[in-house]
Amino acid sequence: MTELGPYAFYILGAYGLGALCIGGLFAATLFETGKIRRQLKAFEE
Amino acid sequence: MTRNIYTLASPHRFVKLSGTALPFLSVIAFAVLAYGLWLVFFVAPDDYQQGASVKIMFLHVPSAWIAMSCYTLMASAAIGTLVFRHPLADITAKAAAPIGATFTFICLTSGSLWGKPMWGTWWVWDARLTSVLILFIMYLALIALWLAREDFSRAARSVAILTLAGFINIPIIKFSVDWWNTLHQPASVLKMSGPSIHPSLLTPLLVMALAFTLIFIVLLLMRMRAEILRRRLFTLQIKKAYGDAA
Repeated sequence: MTELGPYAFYILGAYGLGALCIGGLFAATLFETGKIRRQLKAFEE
Repeated sequence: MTRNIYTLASPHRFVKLSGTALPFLSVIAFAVLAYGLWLVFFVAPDDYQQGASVKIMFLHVPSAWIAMSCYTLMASAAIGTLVFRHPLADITAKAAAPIGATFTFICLTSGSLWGKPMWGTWWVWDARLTSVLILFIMYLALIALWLAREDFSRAARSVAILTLAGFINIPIIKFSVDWWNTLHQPASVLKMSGPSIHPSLLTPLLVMALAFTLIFIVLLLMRMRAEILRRRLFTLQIKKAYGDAA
C-alpha cells in the first residue's frame, strides 16, 4: 500500500464516510424490502 | 414496437427480470469495486503536486458523475411520467432520489475533505460547490415531496414537475467552472479536447466510475423492486378495506 502520510486522516475519512453512506443505503434498502415482504406475506396468508 | 417496450417494462416483468439480474450484477459490482480500490491504494502513483491526497479524487469524481447522471435519469423519468405515463417512470424517479442524494452527499463531503489540505479550507461559496449543494437540496426536496403526498399518481406528477424545473442546475454544475472564476479546477476528463489526466491516474478513475455506476444500478433495481412491492401491498390493503366495507 502506498504511504498516505499527512493526508491519511482526510483520505481514510473520505473513504470511510463513503463506505458508511453506501453501506447504510444498502442496509436500509434491504431492511425496507424485508419489511414489505413480511407484510405482504402476512397479508396474503 | 412501442407496445413491445411497454410489455417488456411492465412492473410484473420488471420484477421477474431484475430478480434474475440482481445477484450477477451485485457480484460484478463488488468485484469491480474491489479491483478499483486495489488500483487506487496499491498501484496509482501520488500526484506530483498534491501527493497522496489525490486518492480522494477516485471517490470524489465518480460520485459527482453519478450524482449528476442520477438527476438526468430522474428528469427523463419525469418526462416518462408526464408525457407517456409509463408505469415504471415514477417508480424509477422515486427509487433514484435517495441514491442521488447519497452520492451527492459523498461528493460534497469528500470534496470538503480534499479541499482542507489542498485549499486550506473545508468550504468556499464557489460556483461549483454551491451548485452541487443546490443539487443536494433538490434531492432532499424531491424526497420530502414524495413523503408528503399519499396519492402515488399526484405525488408523481408534482415530483416530475419539480424535477424538470430543477434540471436547469445540471448544465450549471457542469459549466460553472468555465462560466465563472472558481477555486474548483476545470474539467480534466469529460472535455472536448480529451482527458488531460495521466493514464496512470485515469485508469483507476475509470474503473472506480464503472464500479460506482454498477453499484448505482444495483441499488436502483433493489429500490424499484421494493417500491413495486409497496404499491402491491397498498393495493391489497385498499381492496381488503373496500371488501370489508361492502
